[in-house]
Amino acid sequence: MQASLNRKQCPHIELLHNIEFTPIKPSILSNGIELYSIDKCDKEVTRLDFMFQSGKWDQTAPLSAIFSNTLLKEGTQSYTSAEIAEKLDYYGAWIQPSVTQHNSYLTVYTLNKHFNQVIPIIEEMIKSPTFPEKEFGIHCNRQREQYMVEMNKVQVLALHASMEQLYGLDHPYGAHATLETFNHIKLDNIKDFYNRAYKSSNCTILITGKITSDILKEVENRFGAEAWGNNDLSFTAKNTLAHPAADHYTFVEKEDTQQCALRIAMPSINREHPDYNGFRVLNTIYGGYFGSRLMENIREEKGYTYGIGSSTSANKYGAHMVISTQTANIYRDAVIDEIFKEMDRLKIELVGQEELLTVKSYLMGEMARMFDGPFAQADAQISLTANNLEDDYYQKQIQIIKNISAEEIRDLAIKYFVKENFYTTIAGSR
Amino acid sequence: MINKHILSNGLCLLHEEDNSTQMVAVNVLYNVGSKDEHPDRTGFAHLFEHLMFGGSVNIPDYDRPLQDAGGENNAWTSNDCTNYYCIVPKDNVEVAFWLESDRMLGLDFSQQSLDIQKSVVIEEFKQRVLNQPYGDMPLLIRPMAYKVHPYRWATIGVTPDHIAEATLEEVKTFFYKHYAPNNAILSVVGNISFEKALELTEKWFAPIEKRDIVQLDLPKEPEQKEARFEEVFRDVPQSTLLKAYHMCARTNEDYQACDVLSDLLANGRSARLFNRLVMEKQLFIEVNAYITGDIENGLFFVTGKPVPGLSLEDADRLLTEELMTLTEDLVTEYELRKVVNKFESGDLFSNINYASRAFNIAYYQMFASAEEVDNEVQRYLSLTPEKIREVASKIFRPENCSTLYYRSSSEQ
Repeated sequence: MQASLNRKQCPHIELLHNIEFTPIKPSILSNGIELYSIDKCDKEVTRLDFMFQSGKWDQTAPLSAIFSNTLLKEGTQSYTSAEIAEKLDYYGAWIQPSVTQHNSYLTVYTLNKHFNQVIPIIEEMIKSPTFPEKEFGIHCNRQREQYMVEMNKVQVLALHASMEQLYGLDHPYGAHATLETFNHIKLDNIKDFYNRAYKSSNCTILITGKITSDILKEVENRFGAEAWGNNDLSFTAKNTLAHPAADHYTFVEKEDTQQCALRIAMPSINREHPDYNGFRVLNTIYGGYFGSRLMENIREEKGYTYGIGSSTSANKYGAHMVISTQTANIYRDAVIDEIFKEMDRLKIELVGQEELLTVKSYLMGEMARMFDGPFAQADAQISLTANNLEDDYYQKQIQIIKNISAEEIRDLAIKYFVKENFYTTIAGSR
Repeated sequence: MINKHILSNGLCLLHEEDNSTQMVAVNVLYNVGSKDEHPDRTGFAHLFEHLMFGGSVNIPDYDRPLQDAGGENNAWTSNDCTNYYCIVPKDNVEVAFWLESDRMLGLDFSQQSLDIQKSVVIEEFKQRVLNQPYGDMPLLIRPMAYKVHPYRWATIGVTPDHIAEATLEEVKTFFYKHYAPNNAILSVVGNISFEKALELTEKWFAPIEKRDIVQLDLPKEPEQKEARFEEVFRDVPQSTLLKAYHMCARTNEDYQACDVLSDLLANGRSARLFNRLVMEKQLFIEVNAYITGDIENGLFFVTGKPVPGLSLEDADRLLTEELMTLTEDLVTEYELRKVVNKFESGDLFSNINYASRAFNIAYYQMFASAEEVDNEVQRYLSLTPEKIREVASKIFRPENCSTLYYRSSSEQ
């Protein structure tokens, strides 16, 4: 029995050819809200996502998007901050507020048996928060102190400086808070953001878990019957242009650090661009997964770092690609050299068929996991809605992953990996 | 339903079918952690975890075949165990069995691979600990609380020097001492039947021979008899304090009460420390209470960062007062119910995902029995206010505590 076991031979691998993802059709509630329902869980739980299509981009005062989001839980028409916390904790429910450049979210996790006790509190948080002065003050102080800690991390210093280089400080993607920001934020700014963002005409709801008709009815009655919020108020449209820095090199000095943080970034292409999905494959080969060129060379062959990666970030009004790592000061110059050497290799040599197949399989596996299970499907749907993508977006992405050739990848590398377009940011000791 | 099968070489297979996913999680838990290290070679179990990806006897590259199969993997090390997991599409599940069995069979040890991973781990040490504000607090508090037990060092190790000094010979010895089918739990959860999981386990793991595993007789930590105190100055924006109380082992009947005590104090916005000291009195920026959950006698941590202007001495007194209240007054049935509800909810959510379920059942198997994972809520439900006060009184004694003042150097 043992003799027939060939451990040198990898068992047969079934290539993932297709990935099942049926876009979910939302139901349109009476007030126009789109409700996505993903009823695919066998445990008695529910996750509710409230999504508002306004974010940091839209704010007129710094921090007002994120503060209005976090402070939803700090008091409503009928409940104080302490009462909200007490009730949610008692029912074992928890909430996750979050804000991106273009969206604000409130995610709620609850057991189905307590759904009816939890939902009225959530309704008030969304429809009638009071933003009390005291809780605002506490939050502001705590955030300021936390900010001071963050400013002691080289990776944060490098992130701020790098985004500023790519977009400019006056662009929402390039802006970041300073200590002063916390002294100037006013409750009025926060209420103003809330009034413009949190309204039924700006809201999408996802409900995921084991969804009964009673639960669905509750959500419809509370959030879908009538229009709520100030639907006639909205944000003034912005068309800020990015102002990338003239200087392609920034050094943020911090004394006595054991490592420096390094970010090498360039303005890049958006999801609408025909090269976008091909560029993502190129980025994956280069630095987008554990077996990438950067990881193999800089971590696994040289041991210069715990981790190095490159990623693409595409937003409505701008996109960039960034390579990021932390490394000892003595390895810094060598790491920068290798980062550009690996770009050059992709411009000159064709990616081998074996490596290309690995990357394609890896990406297909990643796609398969993206749609696996109810909560993952909810995330995938949120991503579609947040980025205004067509229902066939993922299918198109899969086609490109499957069909892209080594030659196309080399051509994309030649087109985009232009050293002069990259901005280098280092934070640490000289 | 959890299925269990012990192979003749001692490997324990756990299985649970979950057809709500197209994936299978293959989780291998080894009963070895940083507590099994030599005091001069701390950080070794974690370094070893890195070496497990450096190629095995028959397979030069671990990651590539798994990526070809559309899978992903990772691993982590704690004081008590080292856990490896792969997530693979169901049609390619055999690749995970092939890879995991080969590295249980033996590693392809090389000096080069060791040298590189030593360097990677030293950079990790800096990135996660030495170069982060407040990053060295665990390194400072552990040797205060433990004088002889190997929990006195953190998993990452005491110093990067210990990692730099590790030799290939030590690596080999460590492998054969701790990595063996009879010292591992294989947990398979996802879209796979028990018959298939058993067949693949027999095929790939059964031929691996049992090894001599010497269970270390770990030194027992003597009872702490007097309060311990240290202070350090660091380049951080705010001063903070950390208190560590000795508590029971994971299998002790007091364990759940300890967990509830930490939840009463700090789990959620309505918990005592946060509600009273951060929101009501506005004297702290951050507060926390948590237990290590270690298999052997662990630690109950309480930490607080006071607002500017409040001294660490006053902060310490305020935190201690809250702890003392728990030793004197009974918690109400309502408050106890609240934290138990929260546990129940967290427990249910954490067992939905097949990958976390795979680890959870393996972990329970390591210290008790896999099936016990589903009885945990019942243990919490049977707690009484009297029990909570009794356990609080056992723990929150000044002579059972180590206190660290971590001062901002701006105060110097």
